[in-house]
Amino acid sequence: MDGYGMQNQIACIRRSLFDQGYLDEQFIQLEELQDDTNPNFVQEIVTLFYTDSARLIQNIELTLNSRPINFSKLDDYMHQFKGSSSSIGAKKVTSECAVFRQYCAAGNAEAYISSLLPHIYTD
Amino acid sequence: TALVVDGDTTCRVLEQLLLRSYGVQTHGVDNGRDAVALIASGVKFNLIIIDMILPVLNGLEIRDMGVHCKMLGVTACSGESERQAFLAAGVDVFIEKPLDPEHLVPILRELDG
Repeated sequence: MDGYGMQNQIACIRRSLFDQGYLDEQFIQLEELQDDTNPNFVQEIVTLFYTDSARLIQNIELTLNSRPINFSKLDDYMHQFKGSSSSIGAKKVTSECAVFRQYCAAGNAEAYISSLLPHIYTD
Repeated sequence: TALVVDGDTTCRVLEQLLLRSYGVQTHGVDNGRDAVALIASGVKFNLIIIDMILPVLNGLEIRDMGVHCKMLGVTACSGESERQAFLAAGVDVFIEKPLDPEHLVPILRELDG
């Protein structure tokens, strides 16, 4: 595939991420911060987000597997995850974090996990 | 100059870069204790941007540690009770994350006089 074709494909993927609600206008803010002095800024910040997220998800998983579940700690992790995902424009992740925090507030993380199971196999 | 206090690296890097894009010099720390220590060492800041929940000495406690400059509280919490708590703790402005130019620019203009 030539350069033009690849750019076109990247643009299509980018547009679909917005159309499907995975990204919001905050991601555009990130793109606008990229310039000649920070030419790879978007790539770097998304990579940083993935690294931080992997660590957070691991901590969330450990907390969910502990008994009794420490809902305060779980809420802190979800709070942090919601903050970082909203900051890079990861709209769907932010929304799910907000929903999960509501379940945590009710002390019912298992119900949220159960509600996700159908989506894991169909999405 | 501005101090960004956020335990999340992604948020802290983004907030610092956003400030720098408007010509603001920035420092960044990931907890309230280091923020207080930095200020106590004599470094002057016109603005502190601080998250409510931090690993050590969170945003709700920092005013009690003798911090007097303008504070902008940013947090992923969106509830009215969190907003009131953060304002009662001494932040001058409360913003739900993400920090964006729409909220930041008026504050920078006000500080610029």
